[in-house]
Amino acid sequence: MNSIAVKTQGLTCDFKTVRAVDNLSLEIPSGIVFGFLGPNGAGKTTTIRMLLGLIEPTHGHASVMGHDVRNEGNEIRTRVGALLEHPGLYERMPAEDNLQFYGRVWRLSSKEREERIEELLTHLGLWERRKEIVNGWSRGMKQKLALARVLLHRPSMIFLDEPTAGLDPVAAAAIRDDLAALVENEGTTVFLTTHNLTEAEKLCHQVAMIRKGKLLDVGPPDEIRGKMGSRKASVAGRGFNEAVLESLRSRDDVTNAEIQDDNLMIELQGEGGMAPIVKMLVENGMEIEEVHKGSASLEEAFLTLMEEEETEE
Amino acid sequence: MIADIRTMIWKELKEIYSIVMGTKGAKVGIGITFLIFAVFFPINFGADLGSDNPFIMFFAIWLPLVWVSTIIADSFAGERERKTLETLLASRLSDQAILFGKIGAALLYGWCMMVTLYLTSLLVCNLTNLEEAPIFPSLSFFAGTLIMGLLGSLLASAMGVLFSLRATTVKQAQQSMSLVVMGFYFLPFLGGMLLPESWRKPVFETLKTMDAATIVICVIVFLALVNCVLIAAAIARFKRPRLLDNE
Repeated sequence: MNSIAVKTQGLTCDFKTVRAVDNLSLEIPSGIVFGFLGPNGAGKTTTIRMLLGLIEPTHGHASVMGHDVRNEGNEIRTRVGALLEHPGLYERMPAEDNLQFYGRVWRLSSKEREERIEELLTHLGLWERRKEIVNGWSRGMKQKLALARVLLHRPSMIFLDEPTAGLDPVAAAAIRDDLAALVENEGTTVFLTTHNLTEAEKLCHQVAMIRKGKLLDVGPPDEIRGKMGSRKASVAGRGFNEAVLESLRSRDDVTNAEIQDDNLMIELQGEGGMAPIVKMLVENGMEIEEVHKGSASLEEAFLTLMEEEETEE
Repeated sequence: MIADIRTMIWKELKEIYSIVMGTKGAKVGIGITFLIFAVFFPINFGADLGSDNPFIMFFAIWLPLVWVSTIIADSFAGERERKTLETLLASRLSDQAILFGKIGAALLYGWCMMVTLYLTSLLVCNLTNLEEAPIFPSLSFFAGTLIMGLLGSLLASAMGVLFSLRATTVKQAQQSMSLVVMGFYFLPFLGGMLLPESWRKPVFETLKTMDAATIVICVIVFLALVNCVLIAAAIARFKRPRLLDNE
């Protein structure tokens, strides 16, 4: 797939004196899981609301599946599904009626509705409980039902705002598997916001990191991890001492050096390689057994980006 | 659009049913109303109830107003409180479909209750006065009563939706609604008292000379106009971003 599902250019949203989203420019290809990561108040939900045409951007442009968010909100909402911050279920109604309602909203025929509801609820393990009032259900079950509602009309794109928040690890893993299968089997584009970086790492083909409305980085998780990881290296060996640390710290290609658990931990400046550093260590009499470079997790990469942004401010 | 309004009405009626059946107070209230108006009155007033009694028309407006006002505050404020509004707004339903679906469901509820109560009272009236049966008002009166009931239900629905749209909680919407409903009842009396002395006499003289049919038509036209204004105001107020601001 090479078509573009979402395109934003300088997308900005102000609420009175607060800038919730600041000059956001993104291009999201169709048929991938796109992770939109950021701390609370970063502007993730506001971005989703703008992309759904629920609130109007203050500046900039955005289109979803070729439709402009300012003028074609109805066309966008017709083609996508959305599981927002809350499951949005009618808790005084039975599970089946919740799906029946949204099946009617998406104009599925009676037969289509029956079949699709059975298919989804069976797959999610809720078929036997379809007649129950949703009110007494656990958060995990409600979230599964909400996911069934989102998928009911087989949308070509879905927006998920923290879909696994508050779920136990088993329920979260089940939802992750369902999403992965959905993209694999039906080519659905998923726009996912999450705090769970391990989840993003497992599920997303591309991630964007946002803080205070500003885009910090965007790309495949491996690439982002690589960028951050390539700045750290650990050297296992013998003979490390304060003098070596001082010489390392005085180099232009090293920002910091420390000894941790008998290993030498080096933070590199820019994209510099380890070869000149290893050469220097050997020339200074160190015995090098192993050099390991670039293994930051997405979480480490995320935290590093957040720290850098904070320092710049 | 019609199919979408029907879908909204379907969902709203299910919610109204769950509100009414899930609340002991609502069930008792409806039961007492039916006992008074469909059993006690027909038994006590007998054949008078089957005549063209103007009080019946008054109740045809008043009762739906009371019934609808107990459930309509929930329409938007309830969805907002229970965190279902944003999901509904993120669906493919148009603004008009959501709005008219909510008004339509409340209108149906109020009107069907009123028609059921009226027909039940006529049935009880005939059963308890078999020697005078069949007791039935003139067709024009009967039709007028049904129209009055419809307009009364629409008035409460449109007014309730208008308050519910911007209220943060159901309670807030209910309080605003009660104040206006009370104002609506006292309006004729207050209007009479507030009229300048020089106007009062000619107005009452004109009213005296009008026949019942003309008064009914005037009331119907007045209610229809008020309803149109309220619905137009609700359409103007229904803005997705503003509805989300209150979330």
